[in-house]
Amino acid sequence: MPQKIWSPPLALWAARDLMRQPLFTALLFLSLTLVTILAAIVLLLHQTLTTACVRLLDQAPHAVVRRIGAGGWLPLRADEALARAATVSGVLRPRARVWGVVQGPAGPVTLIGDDGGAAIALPTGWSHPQPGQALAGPGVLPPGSDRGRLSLVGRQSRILEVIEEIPRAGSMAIHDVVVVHIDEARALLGLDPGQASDLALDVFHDDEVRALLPDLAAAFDWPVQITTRLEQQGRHLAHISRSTGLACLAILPLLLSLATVVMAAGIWGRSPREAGVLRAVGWTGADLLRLHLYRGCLVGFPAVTVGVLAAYLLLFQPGMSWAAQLLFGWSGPAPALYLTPLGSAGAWLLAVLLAGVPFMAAVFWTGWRSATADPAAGIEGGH
Amino acid sequence: MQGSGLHCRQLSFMRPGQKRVLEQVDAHFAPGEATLVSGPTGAGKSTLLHLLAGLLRPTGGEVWADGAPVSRWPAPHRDRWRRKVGMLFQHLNLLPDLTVVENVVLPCIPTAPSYSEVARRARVLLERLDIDAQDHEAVRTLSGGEQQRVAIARALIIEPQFLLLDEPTSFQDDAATRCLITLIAEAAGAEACVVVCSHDVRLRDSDRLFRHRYRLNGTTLEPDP
Repeated sequence: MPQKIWSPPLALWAARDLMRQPLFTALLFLSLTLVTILAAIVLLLHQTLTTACVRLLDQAPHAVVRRIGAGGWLPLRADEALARAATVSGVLRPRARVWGVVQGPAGPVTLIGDDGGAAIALPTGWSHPQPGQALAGPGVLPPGSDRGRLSLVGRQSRILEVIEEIPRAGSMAIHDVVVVHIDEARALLGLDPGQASDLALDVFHDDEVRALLPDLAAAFDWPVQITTRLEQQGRHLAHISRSTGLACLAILPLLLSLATVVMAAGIWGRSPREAGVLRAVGWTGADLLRLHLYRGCLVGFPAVTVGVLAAYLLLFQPGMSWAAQLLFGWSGPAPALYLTPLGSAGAWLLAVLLAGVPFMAAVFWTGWRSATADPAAGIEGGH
Repeated sequence: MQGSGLHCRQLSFMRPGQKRVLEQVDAHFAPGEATLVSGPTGAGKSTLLHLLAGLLRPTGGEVWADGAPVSRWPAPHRDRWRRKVGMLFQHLNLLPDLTVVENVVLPCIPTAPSYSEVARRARVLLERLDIDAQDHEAVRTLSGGEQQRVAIARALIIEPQFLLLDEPTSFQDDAATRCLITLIAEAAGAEACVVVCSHDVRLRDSDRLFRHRYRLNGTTLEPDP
């Protein structure tokens, strides 16, 4: 008669069997939970950052032109750069941008100049900042500081009135952003009137931008560096993968130690004598193997479930910043992170497999060892 | 081809590097009958039972059960066949940290449709064997005689087709022995093939129960008139 895979009395017995060694069971549960947490955090962080990066860069210009010199980045004349870019067939919506990095109260912030035009889309009801005013991202003002005033230090110092704080739910890209009037931005960044930081432009289709690069470079009288959206995307994704990949490497020794714990528990937990007794009273090798697998599942499923839930809470609970701090060196509170249901399914599954498969393999091995042992040797060895 | 019950045909057994325990043993243990195997200590009675139960593989000859050469079978097949065997070991082989009922239901766990049903059957058997143990009481807290009766209950709970008992009365008083004789008679009455190895005179005096007797002399098994 074919063996039934599921047997309620055997499952009940497996639970009872685990309770015979509560310390080992607790140790197994904790080890597997911790490994799952680590694996899930790394994979979910990778997933959420990749999603955020792709979504952000989808809204970025197709190409950015920067003027460069021997010393690096140089400002460019906005009107002249716009006129030259417009001469290249295929270039759409060229726009000069004023932006840079200045020192804020809690560290460096990304300063963006707003000329009051349509280039910067603000939430409904918000007004564009006037000279002396600023819109601040959620990570700009340190907790407990005066929420109405913002001190920025660049080539010059400015104390600005914060008219709106950009909500945390907006996007991770606005975390450290300060939007000010374009004249204030130029003053803080040390740009002359009419100068811009770079030139952003679009093309009709992503694939066209590579073909336009030679014409675009030739259109300017000065050396330029042109960065495409795809290049930026690749660079960011590579950085994310590198950081999370290194963390994944750290999981391997943990998995090995987990497998060792499982095997030790399996070997010590079921002595050859006991396996021999079970076989002698009518258990088959397959029954013993099933018992081990049930035991593994009874510990494994709750541990993996608790592990992925804990990872989710640790990563996405507002205020938790340690994972991004550890992996990416971000200081201060991390921006809010979000998961897409479809994209995160792979990360969840991979985390479960990464922790669960070696665990169940170790459980299977210990079960197989018991199942194939000689019952008479087990019984006689006990006396 | 052999008939029903257990057959030993030219059965020999020797552990590597040790003296021969059994040599050229021929015997038939019929279903519906209880057979007593006696002999001095160390004669090989336990080894014979282990061979009959398929726990040991003979070094010569064969064991046939209901016309099947079980001693030739590979371990997985013998494991499945052993579900029909109720076995009492001389050293009991109970799991001391488990409770009394848990020890008794042990053989039924992989195949039982429900745990509560086998636990109920275990309690009935324990009551018949005069074991008044609480559900949570570990078997190690019982006396030697009680532990032996728990092991007997474990052998009987599957209503075995082959019942093999090794020194079943070694720790029992007269009342418990009488109770055991009744249970053995009931098992035989249910067409089980019962083999009891013992040198207990109380069993040897049970002529009505053990109509077939063998005696292990040295390495050979001879009918005991």
